[in-house]
Amino acid sequence: MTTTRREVDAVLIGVGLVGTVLGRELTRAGLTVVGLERGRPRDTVPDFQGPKMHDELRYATRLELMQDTAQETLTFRHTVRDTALPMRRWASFLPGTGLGGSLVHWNGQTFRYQEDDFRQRSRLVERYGRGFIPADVTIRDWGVSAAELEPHFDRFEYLLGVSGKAGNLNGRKIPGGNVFEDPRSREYPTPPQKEPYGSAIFRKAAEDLGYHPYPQPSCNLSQPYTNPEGLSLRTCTFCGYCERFACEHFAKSSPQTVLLPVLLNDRNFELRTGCRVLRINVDQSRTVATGVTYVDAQGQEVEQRARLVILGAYALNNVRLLLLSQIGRPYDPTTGRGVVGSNYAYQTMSYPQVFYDESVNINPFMRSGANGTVISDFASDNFDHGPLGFIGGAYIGEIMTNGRPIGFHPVPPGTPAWGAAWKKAVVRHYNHTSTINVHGGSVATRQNYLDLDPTYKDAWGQPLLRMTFDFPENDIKMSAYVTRKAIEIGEAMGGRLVAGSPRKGPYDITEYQTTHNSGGTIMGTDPSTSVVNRYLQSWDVSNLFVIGASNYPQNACYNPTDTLGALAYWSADAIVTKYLKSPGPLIRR
Amino acid sequence: MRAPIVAAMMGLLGVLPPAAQAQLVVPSGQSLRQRPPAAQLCVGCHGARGEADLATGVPRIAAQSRYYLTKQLDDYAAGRRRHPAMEAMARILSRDDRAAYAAYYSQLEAPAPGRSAGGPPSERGRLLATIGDARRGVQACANCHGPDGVGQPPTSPYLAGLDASFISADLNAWKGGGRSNDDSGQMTAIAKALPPEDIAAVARYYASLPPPRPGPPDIVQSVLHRRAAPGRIPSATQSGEPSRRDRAGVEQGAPMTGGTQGAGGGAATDAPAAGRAPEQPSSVIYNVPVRDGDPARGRRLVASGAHGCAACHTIPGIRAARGVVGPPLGGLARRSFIAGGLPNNASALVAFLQDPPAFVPNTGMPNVGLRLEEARDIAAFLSTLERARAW
Repeated sequence: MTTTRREVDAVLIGVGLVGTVLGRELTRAGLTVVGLERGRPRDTVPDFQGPKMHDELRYATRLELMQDTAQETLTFRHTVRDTALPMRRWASFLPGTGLGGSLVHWNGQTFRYQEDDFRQRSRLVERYGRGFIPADVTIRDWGVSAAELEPHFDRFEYLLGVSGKAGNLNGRKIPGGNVFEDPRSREYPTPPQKEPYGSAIFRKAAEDLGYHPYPQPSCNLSQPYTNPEGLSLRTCTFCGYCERFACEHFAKSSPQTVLLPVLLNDRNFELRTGCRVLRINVDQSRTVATGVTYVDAQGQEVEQRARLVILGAYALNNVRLLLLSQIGRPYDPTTGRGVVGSNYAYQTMSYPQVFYDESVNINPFMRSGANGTVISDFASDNFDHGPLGFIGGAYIGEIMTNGRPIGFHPVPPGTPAWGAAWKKAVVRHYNHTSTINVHGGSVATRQNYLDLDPTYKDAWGQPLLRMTFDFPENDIKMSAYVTRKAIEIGEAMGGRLVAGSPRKGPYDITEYQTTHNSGGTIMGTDPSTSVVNRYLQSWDVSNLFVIGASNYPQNACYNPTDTLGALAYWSADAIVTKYLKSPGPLIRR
Repeated sequence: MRAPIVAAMMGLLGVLPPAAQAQLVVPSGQSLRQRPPAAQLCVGCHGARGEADLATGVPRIAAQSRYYLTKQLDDYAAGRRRHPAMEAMARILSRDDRAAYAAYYSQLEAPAPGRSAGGPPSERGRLLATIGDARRGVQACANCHGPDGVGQPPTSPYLAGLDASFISADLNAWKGGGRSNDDSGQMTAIAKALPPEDIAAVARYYASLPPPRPGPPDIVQSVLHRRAAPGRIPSATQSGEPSRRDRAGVEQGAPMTGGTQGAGGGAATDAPAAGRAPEQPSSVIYNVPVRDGDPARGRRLVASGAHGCAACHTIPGIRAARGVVGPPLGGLARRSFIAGGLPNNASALVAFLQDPPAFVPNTGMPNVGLRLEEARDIAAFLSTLERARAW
């Protein structure tokens, strides 16, 4: 028995970063909007308060803020020849759930992708020639440029209050900032956070080697900040509980701290939590969405009719919902045809460690999720790939998001994995070890993709998403090269020992690496190779906009959130200024 | 009776020969079980065991973390935290003595206070302390001050069992800008969001809780001990292996706030360690031996009328000095306080005479423009005055 609710102007699937930004822009344009969030409502006060919020076992180990795998998970295999099996516990990546989405438990690392990333294929062809890109690599241009996104990056960063230092102000390079970044129109809203000791050592070493270190742009704020929406953030206290936790201090930018209170006060907006969308409904022609069908918190099935549908769930869930709704042609790796689920990409991480004498105290517990010092000298196409035989790169930084007691036990290679010798080594090295992050990008390939699992279903009887992924050879080569550079910096940092190895295959989904899954509903200018156009509007259903890291045709090395926020504002701007005036495809196919 | 105290003060002030000094001045972190001699200064207000009396507005300091107490004393000395008496106290103490006091009180066990004045705790106070107030944008005090207000040493002080009027006054100081010495500015933002009735409620709540017993010595104690000369960031290219001493220098810079304190990306490399904040902000000179003062010269200065002392004070032995605006100065040396706010000792008196309002802001005594030597001579003269008999 399905109840039908009165038609609204727009329905949001997911009320995280995308849902909150789109909800605000659409209600501001006068639309009535319903936001459907399958998780719980939650706010800084009372839900994120201490001492509970610093319970490492509850949040970091048992993953209280993440999707419940007993209800819904995904299945995984390395290649099409394998049989995929369901993940019983998240490990390699951690999809969040609940009001505010993943921005509640993120670290706050806030990078812009570069023009080299947005136009990766054509830039590489221009610089290195047509044969340079490996045959199985399916990287594409995004269909949007850094210059087009700049005003939207700017707006998003001023919403968040990002703490950082510009390296390129309107074309003028500024030492001490990221000199490789594309021109930005103004300085960051707040200055960088204080530099931790380990990061200062890294900066000195990187400078001495001729690189260009800069403070990592951070959404753990360096000072109080009131954003254009009138909401105020406070200063980070360096408590060390960012990633996998919510901030109790109003010091980390999240929907709850930067936008949700304004949206929830809007009479045109209605939030419904505990509502799980099963599918997007389309009419007979399959070119117009009529709304969505969801199961509410009481287990009742409800049809919510809407003139406009915004799909803004986590990247993987965006892909799954399109597949479940049979919108767009599913990707087939044997023919290379089809689009939904194609170009799934990840990121390629490695973590060399510098072990110091006991006279050097790193104080790893006294960090925030995003403070640290990084270089972009080996990111994107900022270095000559000609002689190297791979594409893409990594940023390198001394970034230690925390030194939590359960999770952080640095010991040098050769230490026993348990017992008295291990404990002794942990005590010896805990406060005298720096971790260097080699944060690498990921190319899209023909064989890595997402589709629906033929066997396993979720608690509502719908097929799980199936992931087929292994590290592309290109990315293994990239990691080998950039990790070697990181180890050289580590050796210049004056430690007693530098240990670490590049990322190697096969991909191990049981080890945490990063929650930067991308692709599957990619954007582009060609309907035969992309799911949405450059405004993130579905090629097939013109009143459906799909917004998420699922739009990225391949993954750059940077953390994806800033670019996602810019895309959300970019798309919202197109909806309000173009689509609402003349509903229909914004670009003819 | 009086001699040992004076000797103790003089030891503090560095006028005894080195050998005698070594016996009297407690080096930081040593002999914690014994009260440092000059901690007599603290006893008057904070109680014999740092327990303080209720409803005096003076906080309990027993078993507060050593790091926290040291930081507060250093901040008073540097003017980063304001309180007339405490600033003056902290300024006349050496850095080592401040650390010694902090170490001593951090390990003291004092009896819990009786029931707090100001009424029973309210549910509102408990809610603010443990959950916060979403409407006002105030997070729970417990985030930093621990469950039941037991603190999160070393950085965050305990609040349980502190005097309610002290907590109220302190929150009002944060609110009004009189106190702003937390690194994040969180306390200012929180206090500004709290109306008076909420401040009173949260103060009563914490006053009603039992204070914690001394914890184990701070984990950063060893770092604090290693305070040495300012250092530099190790230069990685010069030697590959920076010298031990260089590293230790940086390390002691700011042990609780993450090493070098450059605004991220700023030039932190050659900056002196941040822990060595200036302790003497004004032109007034502290820690001067008063023994060098000449009482006879001091008497002549007062009697000359050049500085107008006689207009306000009655001074034995000086005929013109019959003023009744300020207190009579006979027997000054026996008094506990100068101008009601400063501990009365020679060094404090010399400092006070040079700029009275700087030490006791609401004093009626103006700055009469005394130079250091003049102040020292006058202090030496004043300390000879017996209590007046005939008047």
